[in-house]
Amino acid sequence: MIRGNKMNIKKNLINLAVCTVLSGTALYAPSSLAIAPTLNLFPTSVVANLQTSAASAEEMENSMESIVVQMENQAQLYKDSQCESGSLDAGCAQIKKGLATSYTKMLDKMGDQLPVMKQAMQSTVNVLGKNIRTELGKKMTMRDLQRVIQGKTGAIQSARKRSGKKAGRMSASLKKYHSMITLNSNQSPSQALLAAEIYADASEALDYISLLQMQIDQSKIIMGVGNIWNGEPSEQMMATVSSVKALLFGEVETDLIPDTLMQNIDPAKDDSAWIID
Amino acid sequence: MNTFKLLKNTVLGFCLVSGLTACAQTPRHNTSQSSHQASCSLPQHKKLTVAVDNAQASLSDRSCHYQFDAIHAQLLNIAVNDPSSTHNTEFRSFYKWSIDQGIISSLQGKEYYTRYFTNSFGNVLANDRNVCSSAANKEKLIKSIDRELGSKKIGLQDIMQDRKAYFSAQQTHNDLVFLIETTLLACEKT
Repeated sequence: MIRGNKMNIKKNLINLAVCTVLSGTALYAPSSLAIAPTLNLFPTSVVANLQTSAASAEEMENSMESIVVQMENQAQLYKDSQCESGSLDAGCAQIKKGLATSYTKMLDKMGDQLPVMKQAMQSTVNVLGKNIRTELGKKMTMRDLQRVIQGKTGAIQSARKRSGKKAGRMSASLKKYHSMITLNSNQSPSQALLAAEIYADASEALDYISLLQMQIDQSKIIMGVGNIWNGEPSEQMMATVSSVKALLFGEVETDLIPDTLMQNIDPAKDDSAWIID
Repeated sequence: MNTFKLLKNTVLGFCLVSGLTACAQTPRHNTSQSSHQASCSLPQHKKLTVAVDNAQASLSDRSCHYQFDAIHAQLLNIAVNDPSSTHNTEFRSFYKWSIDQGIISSLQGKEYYTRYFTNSFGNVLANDRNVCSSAANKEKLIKSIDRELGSKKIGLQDIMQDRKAYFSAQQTHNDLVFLIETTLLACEKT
């Protein structure tokens, strides 16, 4: 009888141990599967900053486009009318006056709108930079970076040539980035390239904004000190206009390399065991 | 006395003959060495398959193993002038044979194959430290990646004439360099 009880207790203990192990496994397994390696690159603040930057860029583009075109036409007219040779003609004086007005208008508008954009860009650069440093820089090796790239899906369409400057309008790029982040909310590995692209663009835009602010300040000083500038197209003015165009409208380049190349793997030709990836 | 003289002359004569024989053997030794060197010669045939057979014949001699790099380079040159989409398989077999013969290590075989016939840059990418800690070697690394792309041009485009695969390698190269530069930029701005 006692022996039988002992047997039961032993059996129960074994059952309990097995159940504990099994339940432990059952509890552990789903959680370990759920925590698949993810890239935490896009916090909500980045999405919000991109929205602000896109809105600000669009506003600037709309207000600047007509002024830039007007200035280019006036500069061309000035050149065609041979006003460059220091003509005292009344027509030339009028063109110069028109140019000066357009330029002042451009500087004022840029001066008003740049700080908002700068703040949003700076915030994007700070947050993304920190996340790229942590997620890609500290947690990954160089080979991991390659794996991330090779896991890239067609969702990422390069907005820039890697070695070149950004292509197209700034607001369009920012909107595109915003929608890409929102669509790929599952934090796929391809987000690494997207994050790098946004970071590089935002850093570049920040440089342009700083340059522009410096040029605007210089121009305002020149215009303000005893009428040094008489409206004649100067290198300073043309450089500022170029910077505005580069910042807002970008440089359109054609990417000759197709972005997505589908590869069919023939099992007979499978050489995966031979590749160091 | 005469017997002693005779013996002395015989010994001297024997020494002389031995010496002459030794001298005569020197050129023979040279001949043997030159024929040995000839067996390490680089493959010359214009067809890759034949050239690989010749290369294997040369490398079968243990004393020719040091010629592996030169023979491999020569095979690549031959393959460029005799392109085919299946030459990657030919080279893979050659690497496998070379590994089996103990001429190169398994890792070296994979490195050769990866360098020339795949779009992976794994050969030149460190896997033992994080990206930020490679900042000091950035320029050197980018140059290695560029060189690796040059090798892929030979393997994928010139030898296999696979433009699609080479474009893919170019794209991986561009993405990789961009991601490395951007990540290192973020690392710098700590």
